[in-house]
Amino acid sequence: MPSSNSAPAVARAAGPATAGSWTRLPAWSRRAIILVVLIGIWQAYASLSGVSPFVFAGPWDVAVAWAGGWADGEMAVSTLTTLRLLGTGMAIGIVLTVLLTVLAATTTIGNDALQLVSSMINPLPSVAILPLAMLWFGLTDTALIFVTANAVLWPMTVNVSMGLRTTPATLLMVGRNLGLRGWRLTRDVMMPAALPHAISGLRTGWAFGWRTIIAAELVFGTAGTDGGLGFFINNARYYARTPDVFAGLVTIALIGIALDLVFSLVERHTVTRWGMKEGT
Amino acid sequence: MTSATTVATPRDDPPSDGPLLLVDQVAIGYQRQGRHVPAVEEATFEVAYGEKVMLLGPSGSGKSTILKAVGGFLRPTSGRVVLRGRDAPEPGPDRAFVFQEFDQLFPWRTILGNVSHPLKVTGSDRAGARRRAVEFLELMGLHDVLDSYPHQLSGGMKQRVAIARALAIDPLMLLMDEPFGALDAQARGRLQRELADIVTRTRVALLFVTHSIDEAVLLGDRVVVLGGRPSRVREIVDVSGLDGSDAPGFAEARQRLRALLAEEGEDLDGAVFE
Repeated sequence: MPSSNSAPAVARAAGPATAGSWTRLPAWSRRAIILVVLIGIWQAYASLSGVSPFVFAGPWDVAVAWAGGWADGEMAVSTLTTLRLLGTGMAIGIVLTVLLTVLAATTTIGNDALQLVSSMINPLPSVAILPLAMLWFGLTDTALIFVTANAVLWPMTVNVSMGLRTTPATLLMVGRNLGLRGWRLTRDVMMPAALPHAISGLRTGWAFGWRTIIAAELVFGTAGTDGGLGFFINNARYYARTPDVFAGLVTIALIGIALDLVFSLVERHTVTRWGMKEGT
Repeated sequence: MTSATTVATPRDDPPSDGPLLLVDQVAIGYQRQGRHVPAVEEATFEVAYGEKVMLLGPSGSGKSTILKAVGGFLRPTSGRVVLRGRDAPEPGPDRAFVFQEFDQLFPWRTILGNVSHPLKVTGSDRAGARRRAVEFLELMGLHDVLDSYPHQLSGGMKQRVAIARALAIDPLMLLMDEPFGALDAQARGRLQRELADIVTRTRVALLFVTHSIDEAVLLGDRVVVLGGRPSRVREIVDVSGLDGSDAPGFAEARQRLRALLAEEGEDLDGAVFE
């Protein structure tokens, strides 16, 4: 069939024709070039536009503020505070996810209940329950952990229970054929089969949690002596330390990138290695 | 006392009374959209210890349904499935299933893990499970891929792993649901010969679903021919000893089965001889 043979050739020819030698560069160097150009534009705007340094900081000032923040320990304390709260919230969220999804996968009533509750809570922006958490727990870390755990729980349960429910029927029969029942079947067959969904759930969950904890800290301020990154940014704004506001944002973005890399690494060593990575 | 000297996997002597498996007037139906749809109207046959019985019939004749009932995955609507004198068996490792689908291996375990994990589940210690898994993988010619993952293997090799896994747990019966149905002709022919050889050596009983007459004659001692909708057992044909197309009686047995399937209106140039 000549038509089906020529179609990909046309598509391939169209790529270099529009992009030139750009596509032949390795992906990391393409990104690096874009990054350098963007920082250049940023610096040019800050230096040449005459914008007030009280509302806008250039990359050099931000870099100085960022390095200074880490050097004097303030940024490190804020970052660790936020990560500690996020970590605790996620740990609680993961334990609850396992409990709820296994219950939902093994009993019909559990499945019905989880479907209903998650469809009710999922559309709620997770930071919206912060006032409620403050009523219940006061101005404490517990309130922030509660909000974060709630934020990660629902996207994870939706993904994981989908993964458990879509375990291939053949694998389930192989497991039952070996005499695996109940919890053993769940642990040895369904949970590993659900791993691709669990990892993408964890990815979505952490991203929800990350947004929520920063937003909650902005609203919440500080519980004790140490505030988190959200507090750091808001505090810097209050004292008109504009470069610090930018530096806080940079830290938040860098942590996001770093955690995403961790998830990619986990994925490559598990589901990609096992040929279970989904097309989606 | 008989001692099984030539048997690779010695097992308990069979109880003298009764067959290994009795499928007694079994009817099976499905629930579909609230309605009961009968799939198998009446099936009665036996499998003796170490016997190779083939379930042959056109598509939709309930072969796999009967196999799943023997495996314990489906309850018959009426009739009995009796294994070693016990009624209505639950799924268990005494009947090791091999499916047609290549995805029957656990993708997250290595080839070695896929074979040794079932052994650990059924009570072997770690070292023993590993030793036995390696032994059976070598038997199936898979010593090179012990540490590979299933997705790295061809379809034929995956089916070999599934057979090694099934044999390693030392079952009374192998239940095979068109295990070579998705393979190319060359791989299928090779695996059929190897399976015939290994089943004879281990004296494991075989209940094998196929829609290929040649496969049925080659591998089976007896062929249970199914037909009709819902299906019934048409005839049980003795094909023992016909383990090659040049064996005397091979052509006749094949002719007989062909005639039986032709009555079912099966397209003989298509699905039956591929």
